[in-house]
Amino acid sequence: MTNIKKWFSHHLEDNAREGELFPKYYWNPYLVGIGLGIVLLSSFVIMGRGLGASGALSSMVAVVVNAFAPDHAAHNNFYQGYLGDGTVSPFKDWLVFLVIGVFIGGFISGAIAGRNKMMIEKGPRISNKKRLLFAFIGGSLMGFGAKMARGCTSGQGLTGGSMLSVGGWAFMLMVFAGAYATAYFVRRQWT
Amino acid sequence: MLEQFVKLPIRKRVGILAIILGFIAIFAGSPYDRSTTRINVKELTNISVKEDHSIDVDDLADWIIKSKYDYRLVDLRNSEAYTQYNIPGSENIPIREMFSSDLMRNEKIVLYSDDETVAAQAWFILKADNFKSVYILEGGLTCWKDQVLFPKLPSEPTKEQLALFEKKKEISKYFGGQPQFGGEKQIKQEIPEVKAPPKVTVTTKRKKKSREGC
Amino acid sequence: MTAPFFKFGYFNDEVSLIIAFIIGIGFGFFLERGGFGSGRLLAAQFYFTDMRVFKVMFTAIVTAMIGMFYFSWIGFVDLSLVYYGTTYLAADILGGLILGIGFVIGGYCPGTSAVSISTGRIDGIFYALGGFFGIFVFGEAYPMLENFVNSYSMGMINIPQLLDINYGFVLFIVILLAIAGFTAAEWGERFMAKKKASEG
Repeated sequence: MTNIKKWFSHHLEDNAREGELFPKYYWNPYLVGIGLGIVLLSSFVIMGRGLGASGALSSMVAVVVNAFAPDHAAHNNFYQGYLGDGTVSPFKDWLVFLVIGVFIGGFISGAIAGRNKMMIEKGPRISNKKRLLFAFIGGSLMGFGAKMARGCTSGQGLTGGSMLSVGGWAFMLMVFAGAYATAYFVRRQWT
Repeated sequence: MLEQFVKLPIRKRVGILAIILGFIAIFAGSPYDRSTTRINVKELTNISVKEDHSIDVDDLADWIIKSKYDYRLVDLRNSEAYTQYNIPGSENIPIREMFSSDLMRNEKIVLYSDDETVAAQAWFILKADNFKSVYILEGGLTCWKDQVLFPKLPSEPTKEQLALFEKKKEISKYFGGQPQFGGEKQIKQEIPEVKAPPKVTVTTKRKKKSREGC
Repeated sequence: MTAPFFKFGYFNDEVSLIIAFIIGIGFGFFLERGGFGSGRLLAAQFYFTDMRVFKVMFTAIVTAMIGMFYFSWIGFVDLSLVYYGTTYLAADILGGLILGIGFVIGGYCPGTSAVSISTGRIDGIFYALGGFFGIFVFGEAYPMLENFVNSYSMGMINIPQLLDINYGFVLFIVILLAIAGFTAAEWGERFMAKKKASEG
């Protein structure tokens, strides 16, 4: 057990080095945006649907719940939506494959730029443990909110936004509003 | 002016291009508007000559009995005629309402009305609006009644005609019709009341749509 | 109208999964290129120091929006066959708020958390675990929330339809807003950088 801990702490790096805030070798955000827009456009043209991510996470949760408590999952409309009628595996889902691709695409880009590093992203004024705790809490809120809004920033935001969906734009406005409103209270974590 | 444009940084160039595209878009009309369309007349003529656009009534009867529902059956008459009798599994979309209906361009659509004229008009409207697979029921409802509901046995039947008639009798009974014996003399023909064949609801018709959320 | 290709039956479900994979690679690649694998960069958006979240998202939205509009105009894409999220106004607003709060606390959103995990960020893993937990909580609470979540349903409606305005006009306004927003963002970044320099 201590070996594992040692290995972990050896690889965990504090990225709060002064003076090196944001490396300049990221691409120009406008170019990244155009690239992302072209990916989104090709998804619309080829599949007739946009991108998304939260659906894949939900499929996994539904599968786990179904494995432990199939009756409970069967009576719950939410899980049933992801499990289907049992003829097709819930993992044979477009979004699941998309997210697997996202993993690999991100890895490739990070590998090319040499940015693949086991580390914890955080500001200088907070400890590692607290950061991980906050990450978990933030993730829970995100999961809850994403399922309530039936989408996340990729699905409702990018997809819904580019098709001028009313729900998509309302969602994005509220995301920014909520994030800006809370930013002050967690400023210790990031700055 | 072009030299000035080229000198600007990429950001500004892309921005100006976007504004121009947006400005042009104001005059381009709505992409969801179905009331106007551009028709390629040459293409339409070629299709009319080459392609196969009709569905036989016997094929349709076969599909309904086998519960094969990969198509949408559209009844183009008005609603009174529809409620009086309609082919099981059909939806009532009078030709007037067709452009505001929920027919999709990638669906297989079979049209019928009393005869073939109205169906042909609807066929043209849909085909001009870029619908991919549109078919006319050959002979319309008249032919359906004639061949499926009330099949006739000629007065001097040959063995093959007799065998064929036996099959048609079964099909006719399934749809609530009455097979006609006795040659050309027409026995009383009652229009059967609309009887839905077992388990047809609009939902089971549609191919199971895969979830498309995010 | 030959596109969307899948809806017109050019290929079957299995091939569509492979296509999902390929599109996902492009998606993840660009996300990481933009620095979205780093939670710290993402959160900087909300402190006005680095506005790349806004820039990337809005540029992508505008690009795809213009692309889809013009593809539809030339008759390449059938826009009525393109799916996007149905609008459930109450759930969208509240869900967005909650997700925004989670975004700045956790530092990621679902797509970027996948990118962060694959580039080795451990907080990304915890974030994803939190995401599973949040979805599980939602699933368990779903019977109670079902009515709220399905309220104010407006179907697959878009802004020009809702306000009965010309679609192209809305497009134009969005582009103007984007450019104004980017100008403001650039100014904001410079302002914060100057402030930091004068403090430090």
